[in-house]
Amino acid sequence: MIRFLLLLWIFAKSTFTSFAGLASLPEIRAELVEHRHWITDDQLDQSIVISRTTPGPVGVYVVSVGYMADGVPGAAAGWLAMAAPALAVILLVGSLGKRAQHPRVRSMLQCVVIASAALLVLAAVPIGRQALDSPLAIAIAAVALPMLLSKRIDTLWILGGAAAVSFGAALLGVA
Amino acid sequence: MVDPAGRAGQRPAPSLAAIARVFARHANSTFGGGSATIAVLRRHLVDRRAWLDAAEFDLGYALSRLTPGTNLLAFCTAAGWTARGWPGALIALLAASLPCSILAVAATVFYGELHASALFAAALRGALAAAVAIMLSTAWVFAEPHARSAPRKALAVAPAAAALSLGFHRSPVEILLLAALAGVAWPVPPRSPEPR
Repeated sequence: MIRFLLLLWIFAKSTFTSFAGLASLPEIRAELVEHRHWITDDQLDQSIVISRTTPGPVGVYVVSVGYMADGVPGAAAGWLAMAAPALAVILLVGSLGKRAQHPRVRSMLQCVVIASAALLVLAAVPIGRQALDSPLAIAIAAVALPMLLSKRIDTLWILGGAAAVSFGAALLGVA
Repeated sequence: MVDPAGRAGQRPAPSLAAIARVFARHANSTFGGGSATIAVLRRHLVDRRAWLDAAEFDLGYALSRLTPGTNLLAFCTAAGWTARGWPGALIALLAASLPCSILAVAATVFYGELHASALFAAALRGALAAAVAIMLSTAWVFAEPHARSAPRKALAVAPAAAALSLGFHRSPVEILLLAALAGVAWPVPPRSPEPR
């Protein structure tokens, strides 16, 4: 129980003070790897790989770290610390929502969305370098992009189809 | 405070079961990180089900980027709250965070087996290639309405955000806060009255 509470405190301290999925990583590494030795650097790396290779937010790595540190209770601590900060958005939406039509608030939202889109393109570059490492992967991305923009096919089908094509190609030995 | 119940009164409010279904399915099935998932959710929440209008979506999305923790979960919470108040927010948050957490635990348990499987790795490579396309299409879906309605702002803000990230190594939240300040200082012109 004490380990659960300590993990919850460590995770919450880092997730409530960071603003993106992996931004909590330095704090968690300092506490769990360097200070308490509850997990190793290799395990921390594994949890990041897991968060990047499973669907959903990359912030879910804290659940994996929690499981490595303390089994199911640790995973529960990670989940609580990952989910709880999200409730803060209600205060923001509640206070700004009624002013959403104010020209300055509308402009603020516009600028944040535009900047987010630019950051998203930048974030796609390193992932693209890593993922588009073969003609097949490039072809999958090239076919998926117009399908996604057309909005006619559910993203789940596109993701599943991409995985199936790549799986089939590996099975046949052509990729 | 916004009155989500009042908004829900203007259009059919989704059931909590429907909220759970949509967020469990679409917030836990997309690779490529939070923004890519939010783009998928936009299609369902705004375009197909009309639980949110475009302005409510933008409000939730922009503010979720400025909320501590995982942006995707903050967005889901904001969307659930706008659609059905506190119960909607809590159900959306649970539905968006529990399945992927269980999956993360399962992947942690079976990490060795999964990592050693060449076929699993091949399937993952295909999904990640599609995720790159999802991220690019997401950026377009988010930026396109604003690029049309405020092209000068888009031409100023997008390159500035890229320059701050690449040239000055500013963190995303710093860049988004600067963008918010720029937006406050550069208000949009008031809307002209609707034609009768």
